[in-house]
Amino acid sequence: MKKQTKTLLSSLAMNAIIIIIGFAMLYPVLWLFSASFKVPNTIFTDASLIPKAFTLNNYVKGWRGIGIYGFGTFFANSFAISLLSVVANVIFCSITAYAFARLEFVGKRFWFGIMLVTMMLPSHVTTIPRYVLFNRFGWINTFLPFIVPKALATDAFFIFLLVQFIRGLPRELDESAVIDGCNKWTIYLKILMPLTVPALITTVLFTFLWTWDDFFNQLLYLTRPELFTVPMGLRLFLDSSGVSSWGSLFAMSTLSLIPCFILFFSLQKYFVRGIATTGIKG
Amino acid sequence: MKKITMMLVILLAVTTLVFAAGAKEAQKSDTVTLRWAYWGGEARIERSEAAIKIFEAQNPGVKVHQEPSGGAGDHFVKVDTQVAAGAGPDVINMGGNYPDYIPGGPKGHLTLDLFPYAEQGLINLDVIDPGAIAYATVDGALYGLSTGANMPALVINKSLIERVGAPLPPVTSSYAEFRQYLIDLQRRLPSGVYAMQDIGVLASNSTPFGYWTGYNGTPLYIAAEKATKVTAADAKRYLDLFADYRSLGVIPPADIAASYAETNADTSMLVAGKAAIGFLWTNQVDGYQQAMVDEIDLIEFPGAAERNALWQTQSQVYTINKDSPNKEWAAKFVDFLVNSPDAAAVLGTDRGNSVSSIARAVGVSNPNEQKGLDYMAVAGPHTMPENDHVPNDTEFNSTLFLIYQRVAFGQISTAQGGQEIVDLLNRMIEK
Repeated sequence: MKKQTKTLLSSLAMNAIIIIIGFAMLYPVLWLFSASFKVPNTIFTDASLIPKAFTLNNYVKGWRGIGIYGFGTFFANSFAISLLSVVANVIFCSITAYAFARLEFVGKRFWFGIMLVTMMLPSHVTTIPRYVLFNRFGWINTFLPFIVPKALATDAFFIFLLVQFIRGLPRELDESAVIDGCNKWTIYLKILMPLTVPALITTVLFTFLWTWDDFFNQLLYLTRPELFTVPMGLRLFLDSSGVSSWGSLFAMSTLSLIPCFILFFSLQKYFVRGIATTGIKG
Repeated sequence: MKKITMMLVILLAVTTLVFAAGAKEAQKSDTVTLRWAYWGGEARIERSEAAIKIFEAQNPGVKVHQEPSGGAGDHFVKVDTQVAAGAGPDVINMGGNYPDYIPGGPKGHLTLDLFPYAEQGLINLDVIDPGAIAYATVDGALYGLSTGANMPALVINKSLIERVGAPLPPVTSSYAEFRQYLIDLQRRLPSGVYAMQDIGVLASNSTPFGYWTGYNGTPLYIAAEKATKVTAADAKRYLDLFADYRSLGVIPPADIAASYAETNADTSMLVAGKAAIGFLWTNQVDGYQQAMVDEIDLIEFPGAAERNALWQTQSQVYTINKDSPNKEWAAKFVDFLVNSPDAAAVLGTDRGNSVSSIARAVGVSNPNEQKGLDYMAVAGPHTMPENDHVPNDTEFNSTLFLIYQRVAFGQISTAQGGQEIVDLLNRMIEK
């Protein structure tokens, strides 16, 4: 009985600590959510998480965007870039990973090494050369600088992740498939790709989140407001030298989190399996 | 699985082609297209768009594409990259950093000399304040046209002061009167609310320090002499002034002051209702007022009238890219933004109080902007020409901030702090 009480108390204490830490970690998100329903001129004076004056006007005003283009446009642009990036990465990174993991070709080790080196190259080093290149192609103010490189399997991180995953799959499966009449392409499509779903889900999630949250590249390549994305739209609500629309900023920030939440929680099961089996869990 | 893969590939290819086609179509257009890059938020974008619409209506065949960035940092990252790739915008807004982009400047020559365009009659300089022209003139060339002028000011939370039953401070006061006012006000304020924010914690703390040195007749920097007039004793007196306020309790202790970064309304002690008096530039009144319920107003720094120690500064400048394919149209557009009454009516004082007498005559309809203009009408006569900026201004500001903090936290004495400030000034000048 005494032992049971001790276990119960210990469990209660542990849960209380977890809840407190969890609340502390969630507090900024809760504050953001709460601020999105506050009257703008009370956001920084009303410290409570429960608004004294409740308003939905921040969402209405925020959705109108910057007057000339609504926030719906920014969401549509962000979705277009993120979804196309996901599609491109899933197809081309997995094909490239299959080649590195299973096929034999001249200079395989060398090219794999080169690919790993690109992961270590700071992206800022290539900023101006990339801009010059895309500008010559006439791709500024289009979505091509975000999608085309992904269709050339330039995201070395995901290739590496998928290579690790495919290397963990037994080669006997390939051999059996060959006996059954499969060629290299069908082995990839019918045997390996279905088995790499957890790693592909990880690729989908990270590609979507990183593209959705990317600000710097979108700032460089998109200069017309009609092509602006969600992070750029949010930035326009802030103006240190003029009038900042805090209410609209927090309301649209809250909305911008929804796709990430939905995607993450709906794929959480696969995602956890993906990171557990690809060695990226650290 | 094969079908899905094929569908994804086709989807990707089709979408890519659609966007590529869009890019080519945009290039076919034969109208004159100007690109105008600036920084600012939602309100500024709407005002700028309204001005563009008027300009396009007055000049058929000319299209102006605005390229706004949310902040000055983003703006210059983007512009620098575009310029490095040979694709810079036609009209580019700059701040006090425009000398970085003139011939011999650290970022390379980007800005066009506007005097030849004024001679051609494309820009009317006759109605521009001479001080604004002098501001952007270097070695006989005009590298920009001011978007408007600003003045530093003390901002008061009028409602808070009235609520506690204290009299409002006079717009003009001496240092002794101001000190006494702070003491009297502090007695009436509730615990945890201070008569004034600690101005030394400002991100741009060279502004109040520059005011102090200007008031004392010892400018931070004289470009012609490449020297500072500030001595260690002067800097010590500045630190002593705030140490005195701190010991009186009329400004917050160092730890509380440090928790307000004072970079914007979201980190402002005044907006949080914890200080009755703070610091603002005149064009920030509207933004700060919209972030709080209490009414705010502006007063002068103490001693301003006594020694004409205030100054007007140019908020930003419109510059033209020397490699622009449409220099004449860019010049006409800049002239429109600065001198046109139609543009002035929609742009307001968001980028400062207009330096063009034609544009100024339009007035403003926003009561918050009017407060800035009313203040400038009173404080304008209490100004002197703006002192030269200390070289390596950003580093000077950040290090001055650290020295001030060390004094405020009691790590070094005001005498040591004064000496460190003078050493810093000399280091920045010699760098």
